[in-house]
Amino acid sequence: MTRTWPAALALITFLGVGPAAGIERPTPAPTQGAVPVDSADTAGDPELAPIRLALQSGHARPGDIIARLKDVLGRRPELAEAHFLLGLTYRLVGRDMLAEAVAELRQALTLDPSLTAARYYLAQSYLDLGRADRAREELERALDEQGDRPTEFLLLLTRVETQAGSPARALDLAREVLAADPDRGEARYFAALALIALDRRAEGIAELEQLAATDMVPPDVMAALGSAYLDDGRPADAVPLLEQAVAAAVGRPDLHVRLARALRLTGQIEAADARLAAALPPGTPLEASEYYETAEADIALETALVRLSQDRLDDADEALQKAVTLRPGHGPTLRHLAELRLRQDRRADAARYAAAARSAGETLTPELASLLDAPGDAP
Amino acid sequence: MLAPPAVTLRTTTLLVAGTLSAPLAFSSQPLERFRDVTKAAGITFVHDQRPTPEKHMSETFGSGVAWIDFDNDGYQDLYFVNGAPGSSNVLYRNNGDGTFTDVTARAGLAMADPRHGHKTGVAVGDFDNDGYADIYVGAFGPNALFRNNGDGTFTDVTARAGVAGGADEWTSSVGFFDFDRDGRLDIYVTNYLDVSYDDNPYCGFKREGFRTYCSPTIFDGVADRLFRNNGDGTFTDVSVKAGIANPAGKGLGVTFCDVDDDGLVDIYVANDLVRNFLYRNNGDGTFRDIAYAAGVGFGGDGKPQAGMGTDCGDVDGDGRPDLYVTNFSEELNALYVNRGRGLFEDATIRLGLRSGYGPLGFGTKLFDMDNDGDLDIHVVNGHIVDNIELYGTGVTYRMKDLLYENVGGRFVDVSARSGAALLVDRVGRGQAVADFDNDGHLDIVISNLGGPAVLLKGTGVQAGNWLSIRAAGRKSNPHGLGARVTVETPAGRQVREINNVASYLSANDLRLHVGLGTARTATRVEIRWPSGQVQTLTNVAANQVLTITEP
Repeated sequence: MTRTWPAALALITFLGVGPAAGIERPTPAPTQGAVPVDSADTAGDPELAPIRLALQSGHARPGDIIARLKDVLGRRPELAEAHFLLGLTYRLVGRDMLAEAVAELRQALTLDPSLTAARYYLAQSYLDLGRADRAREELERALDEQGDRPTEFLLLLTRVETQAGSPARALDLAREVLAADPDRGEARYFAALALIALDRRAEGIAELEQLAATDMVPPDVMAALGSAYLDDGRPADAVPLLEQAVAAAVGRPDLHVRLARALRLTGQIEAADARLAAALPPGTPLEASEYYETAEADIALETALVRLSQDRLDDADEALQKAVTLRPGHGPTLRHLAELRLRQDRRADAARYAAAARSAGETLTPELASLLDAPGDAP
Repeated sequence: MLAPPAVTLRTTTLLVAGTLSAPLAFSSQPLERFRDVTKAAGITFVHDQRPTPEKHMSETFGSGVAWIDFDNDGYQDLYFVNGAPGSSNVLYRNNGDGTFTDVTARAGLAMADPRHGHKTGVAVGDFDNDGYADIYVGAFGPNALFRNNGDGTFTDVTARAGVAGGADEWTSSVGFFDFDRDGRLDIYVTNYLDVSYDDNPYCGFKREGFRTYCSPTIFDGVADRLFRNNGDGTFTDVSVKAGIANPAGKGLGVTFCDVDDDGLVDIYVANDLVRNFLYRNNGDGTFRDIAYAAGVGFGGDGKPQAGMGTDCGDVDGDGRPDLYVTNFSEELNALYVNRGRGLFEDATIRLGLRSGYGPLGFGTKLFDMDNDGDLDIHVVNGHIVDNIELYGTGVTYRMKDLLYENVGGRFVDVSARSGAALLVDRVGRGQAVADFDNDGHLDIVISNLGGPAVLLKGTGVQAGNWLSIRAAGRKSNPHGLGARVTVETPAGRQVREINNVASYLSANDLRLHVGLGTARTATRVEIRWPSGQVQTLTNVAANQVLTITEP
């Protein structure tokens, strides 16, 4: 069976948002969607034809295209299509131009509301900015205006619902896409994610396994399947998938941590250590976001577990202290701290961390539980 | 009694490209250029920020401050806009002896109805041509127009005038100007973000104390508004027709000047993290955004900057107004020098303004602090994120002001040697300039976010002669807003425009202050009124407030 990733992939993958300061942000989508830049309902302004061609070829540098579009807009500031193409090109530059991309795309739509393609990329930009709500609004409006339900718009809406944490809706949309195009890989990917989120893990994993058996598997599929294996207690199966995922997305610390965990659980301690060291190298600029805060905390926790397996208790202690500082209420971190304190024979501290861990929903070992359950010993 | 210049600034003068030369006696020694006289003046205003743990963005905004001679006694009074919903704005009457008296209650200008939400910008102008300056206040909610009754009281005429704007709209800077030259002041309303109080995503790290204010990048902009004065106490929203209703804008600052010398006032809008707008006035009631062609939309790297405050003025003495914009920390405050024919050069580095890179700038003004005939620059700074120090970036929340002296067309950072008043760390937002004691030395008022206001008196050390022009329009608008004034002395020629809309959220002295250097006479003063009339005066004595009435 032939499974097609977007037919226009060669045209469109470059439209994806690049890394911000060398860091790729995690996204659940295997690819960006595809709406041709000349799909606007307008015939297209002749002056923009060579710019459009350069944009589609993928050979021209974004800076050159931007300069040419600014020149056009300097003379013709009301040209909606030029604003649209400029917004599109800003997306190529990276995350720090996303807001400007949104501004240009909105201006394009103000000048010419029929520029449906602009609405598609506006939605995509919102999604990249973490505003799934705005992305949904734009896509639903576009679908309403068009009357029919184009696959690309539905796919992007599926991604929106996935990112927004609405797996049931994402599954419905993915199935709608697959009804029209059964071979659409992204739809199957989103359906798999939705199934896993809906606690239908076996179905979801089976779908991911089928996707992973094809050629040119996107790294997100490998990452998702590797993570699913890891969560299902199959670290050996997870390792090769996560290695490929990390190789394709070296700037994603969450993938490094998952790979390190899989390596540790398969006894490859030194490899796990090396992976953790590469997760967020010193000097990496971090956004002040929950994603990076979580990544730092996960790195610290996983480092502690590596140190524990190396029997380097002091180093493990230091790493766990860092982890709990970064994420104070995290149950597993508190439980590991309690266990370490018990090994260090610091029973009062162990009891204190055990109590906190239990409050965070952790199941304690009998030995730890006995610290809390002993009359008069509870902290 | 007007004080004569304390020190003769120049030992000699040079004529360069038809402009006044730099003072050769520029001092590298510390001088107390400004002195904090807040307490002595009786200014006790404290901005009510009312921050919450939820970190609503409007809490970072601060509010503006306006100089207004509301009682026409010749002294500039002060109007502070307050922040938090329900807080009271404050009007201080200038007693003429260096002190001020709170007259808010009698004036009826508290604007303490919580429905206004956070109050933001302020504009001053005589919209009804009765000879008394009126006040327009922006808000994160309905804006308000207060008509000056001429007896020390004001009446809220917003509803009748039809200038409230959107009920939930987040307005920032506002300004009066006469875009259609009909002699009646119109209102420009800069709007910021499309965000509601409930739309408040979590930003920053999750652990306790680390929540931060979100970046504007995750919110949409809102189109600005232009209210055309109908001349009968009402206004018409002509934003769309005029071509300024661009939803891409995230406007914070606005200023007006005639960038192409066609006699029509143009609009420059400083936007936050999207490109700035330069609306060229087409003269037919419409504008065209020429920012792309002019080169004033982006920073030197071609990327949009976080524009905050802005002003325009001729900093290089070539007769063309230049544009200055304050930006975020780790962005340069940009100086765009007008090269004519609609083109600007980003001359920030070339003209010595590199030190603007560190601080996060807000209110700013181009003004002649030493009366040597060129425009200097003052900037108030302060970060957005009140817990920025937790993140270990090396950036601080409170910041010192920037003060640049124009020396021969290049700027010298004199912030650290201009007196103790400029060595204070603050969270500056609004800022406005006027000569409040009519001593010929311009003074600065600062509205700090969540803190006490500051009044900085220009000491006049090493200052030259001056001329303050109070334009009285007859066919043109009453204060001559938009008039182009050319002042000549033996040392050269200065071209200025009458415009009180600049800085961030604030309104400046409606009078035009011109430094004359060593000249005791302006040999020629020419006013090109918005009506098109050109009026010329000769041999005008220095060191006076001169009222010039349109013929």
